[in-house]
Amino acid sequence: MPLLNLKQVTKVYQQGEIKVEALRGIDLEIEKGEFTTVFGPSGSGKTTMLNLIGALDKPTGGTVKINGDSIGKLNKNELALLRRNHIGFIFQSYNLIPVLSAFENISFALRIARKNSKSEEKEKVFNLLKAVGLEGLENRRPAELSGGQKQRVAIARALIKEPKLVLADEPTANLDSDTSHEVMKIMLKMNKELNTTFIFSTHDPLVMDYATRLLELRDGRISKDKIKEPATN
Amino acid sequence: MRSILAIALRNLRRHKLRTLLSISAIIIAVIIGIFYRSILIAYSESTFENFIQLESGHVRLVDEEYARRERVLSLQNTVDGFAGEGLEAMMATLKAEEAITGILPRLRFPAFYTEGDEMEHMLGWGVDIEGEVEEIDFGRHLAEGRLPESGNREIAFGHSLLDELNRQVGDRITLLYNTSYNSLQGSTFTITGKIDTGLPYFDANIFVTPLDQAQDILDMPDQATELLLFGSNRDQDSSIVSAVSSKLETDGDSGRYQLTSWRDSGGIVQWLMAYQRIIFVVMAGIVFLASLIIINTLMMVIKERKKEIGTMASLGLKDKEIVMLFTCEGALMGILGSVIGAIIGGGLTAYFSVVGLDFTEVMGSMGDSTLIDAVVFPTFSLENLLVAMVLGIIVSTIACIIPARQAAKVEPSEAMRDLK
Repeated sequence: MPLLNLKQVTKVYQQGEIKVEALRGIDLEIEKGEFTTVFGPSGSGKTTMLNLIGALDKPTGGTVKINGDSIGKLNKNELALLRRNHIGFIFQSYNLIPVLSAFENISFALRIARKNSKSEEKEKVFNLLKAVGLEGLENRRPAELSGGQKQRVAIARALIKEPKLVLADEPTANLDSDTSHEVMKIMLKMNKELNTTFIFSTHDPLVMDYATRLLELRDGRISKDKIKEPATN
Repeated sequence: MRSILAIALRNLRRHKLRTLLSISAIIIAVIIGIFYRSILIAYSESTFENFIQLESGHVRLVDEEYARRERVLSLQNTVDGFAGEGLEAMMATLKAEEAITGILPRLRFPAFYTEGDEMEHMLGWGVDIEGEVEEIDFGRHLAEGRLPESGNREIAFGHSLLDELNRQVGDRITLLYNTSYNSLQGSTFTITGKIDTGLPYFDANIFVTPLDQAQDILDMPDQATELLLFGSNRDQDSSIVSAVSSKLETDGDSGRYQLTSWRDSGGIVQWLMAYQRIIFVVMAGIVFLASLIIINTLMMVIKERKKEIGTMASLGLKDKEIVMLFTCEGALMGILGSVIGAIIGGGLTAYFSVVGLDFTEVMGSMGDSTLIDAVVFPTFSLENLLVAMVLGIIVSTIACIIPARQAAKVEPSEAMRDLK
């Protein structure tokens, strides 16, 4: 069974009296462990598709199945539980909680998932901080971290609960080239070690280089679906 | 839950000035609530005590007809014992009742004084001086001289009345009055004392003379116009009413005398008792008004933190957990404000409970027919502080649920919003 299954998915937004069709019949299957990039021009439906795949929104038509669950049939609480247990998010502007330290931002995701004891939680967070190269910075608040460091915290937060799926929306948009490579390498490493599925929405060719599958969206439809070799460095 | 509480606590420090303003509103509301209730309690208690001591006792016994025509102070319908056996015998019988610990007979009558074309009206109280001193510590009101003694034609005036008459302690004065046979008579009294009860109504209108002297000049032997019955405390009123009612029924006088508990006497007493019952609603209203500032703060916060709320929702926080986060944030402001307000309010109340609040000028504008002390000493009580604090916390917390529910309506997709 594929991790993600989209069948004839449509999404229509009502803006006043005008209907805007953001997605127009998407069919897509994504297997566990894929490292996929969705790209396309602004307004092509990338973020809308990511919202649906991330159970942040429901489709107007068609079905979106995540790990076998059709999100159209889930209520708000069930969608929250699905996100809590199975989906990690990485945002362009990091979206860290400013009043929490790096350690707390990461452990918060684990705590609400209530997956571990306190000592296990501490060990897991420190291991992950080490893995993303943030050892020693655990007590810093987001305001005291650089862009790259913040994105690493965001990656660690997305991965700490060992989700089946990680969605990253423009994860390198605010980072310089070197930091972008570092961040992508960390995600690739996690993908390989934990077999976590990553889906990126991006304009950044650097992110596309790392992907093993490229999906191009145009006018709410998948115009290209290509399997490729990832960058080696 | 602990994480949510920790975030809520830290969020308070994000906009310190805004948080401080919101907390200050609750502090002020709680202080007002505490102070307001402490004055009301003091005001009610002093009014109840004055009313009991000067007007009603715990239970007042009068002739039914006298009660109906009380305004004219008729001397025709008096208390003259069970089946007319006389006041003394009646008092002896009533004293035997377990519920009754004290009885004060009073004979109230109108009198006046003339000098040239001037006429001064006043109200005479024939009272059992020793009994009044023993039962209600009447001697504490003596500002000058001594109280009149039974057996002597002596009199003590309220200090304002004495000033109005332009007389002094030691002087003699002749007063005119109607006897029970409705004949105009005059008697000369020696002024032995000046009374200052702190009640403008009493001090400007009333004089006291021994009951035997009043009975003598009014031709009313062994009679009074009313009996004030006292129990061990004011809550004994119903026991007294039931004991005396049985006695009246036994003696066939049930239709003749009227028994009225102090709390059923109407007017200011019942108004204050009703107000004491609704004071919590008034206090809650004051705190709610202050909570509007917290609601406003939280509304702004939610607007500013839409992305953060969306992020939390995308991490899997349920609606009720988001509601809890913002409710906690508001509740913490409510708790801080209520605790600080209770401390400051308690301090202020404790201070004024010693030095008092002088409402003399306000009393002046209210006229002199009131039983309110001109100087009120707010009642300091931990119960009052606790009530205001708990009300502050509960009302502000409940008020915060309104904006917190708005926060839960923020879509998780808000987390992505800036990327489009």
